[in-house]
Amino acid sequence: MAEKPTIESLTEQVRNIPTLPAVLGELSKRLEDSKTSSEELAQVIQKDQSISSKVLKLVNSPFYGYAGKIHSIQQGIMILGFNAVKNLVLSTSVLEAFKGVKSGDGFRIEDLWIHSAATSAAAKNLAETTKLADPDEAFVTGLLHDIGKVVLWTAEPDFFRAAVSLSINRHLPFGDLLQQILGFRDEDIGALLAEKWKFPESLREAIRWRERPAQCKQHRGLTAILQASNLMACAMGYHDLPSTPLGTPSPEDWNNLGLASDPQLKAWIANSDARMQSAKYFLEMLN
Amino acid sequence: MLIAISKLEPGAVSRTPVLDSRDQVLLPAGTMLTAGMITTLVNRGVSLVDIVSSEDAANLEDERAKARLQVIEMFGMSPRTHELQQLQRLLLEHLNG
Repeated sequence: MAEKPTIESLTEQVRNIPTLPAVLGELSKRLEDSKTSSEELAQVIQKDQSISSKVLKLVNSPFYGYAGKIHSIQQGIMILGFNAVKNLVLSTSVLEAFKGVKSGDGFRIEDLWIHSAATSAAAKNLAETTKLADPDEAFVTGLLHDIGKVVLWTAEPDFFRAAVSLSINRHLPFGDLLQQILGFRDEDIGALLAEKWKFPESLREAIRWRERPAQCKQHRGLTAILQASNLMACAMGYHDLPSTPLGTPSPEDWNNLGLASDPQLKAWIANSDARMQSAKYFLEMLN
Repeated sequence: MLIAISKLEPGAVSRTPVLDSRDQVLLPAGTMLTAGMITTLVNRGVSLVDIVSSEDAANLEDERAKARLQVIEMFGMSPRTHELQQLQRLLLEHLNG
């Protein structure tokens, strides 16, 4: 097997990843002040032309149902809300930061983003039905949950490939396999980057505890939604790592999400199927 | 195949459920659209509809069969917990239409 990375070498790798655009930090700061107006927020976003034009494109995508009707960032904020637009800026910035990542034998970056978009669609829907998390937050968490895999692939492609093969051969989910041979999981790497990029605490925690929601006391609802949605995306064929085994949620979380009931799970499958189509469209616009 | 609502003609069949801006299902997948339905969708702000193209229709059954096989294979190599078994059963039901 290729040489094993250590958490120290990956921390170093994370340190070398560029920071996210300044507009994001300024936006977060302004959002903490309840007196900030939509006009002021729009001015902050407009400072970054590339981001503001993408955000405008996205809010006008069929995903939001306002195609061609939103003509300015300020109008977008007023219609979709502060947080939805902030999450769009965050998603746009992260995808931009990873734009240079190339696919290779054993890993296709396009598959990962399609999987992430599918996860975000299922997560938004589940958050709306369960009311256990904010739907926009659930959406962005779904979209960004796999950043640890991107870091690992970029830093150690040979090891990554070997780990995917082992995961398939040993019938072990990828994260469990990493835990077994490295002592840490791809979610832990993702959490390092989420910290460097100053993601909101809920998002950082959900990324870190994705496969172990019981350990995430403060944001267990959001984390359980992410775990179930990640599973749903894979089960519907939107795999980030094709042919690797699925992780399994705990009976307690499954029950808390209402999914132990056949009719509710059935409704979520049908709704996810429909939404995942539009999420792919959303992703095309984001790129 | 996604098609702009302005180009939609009666008789087209929705490939996936048609949702409004709040993600409420307006029409289920497999609905043959009438002129009245198209007008309602326009009024509800729907701009694009995913419809079954002739090529889609020919490939649909093949795709479903392939998806069913993938589900069986994927769940076969995964832990056999009650939750995954329930999901597999309902997914297969969903794919069987």
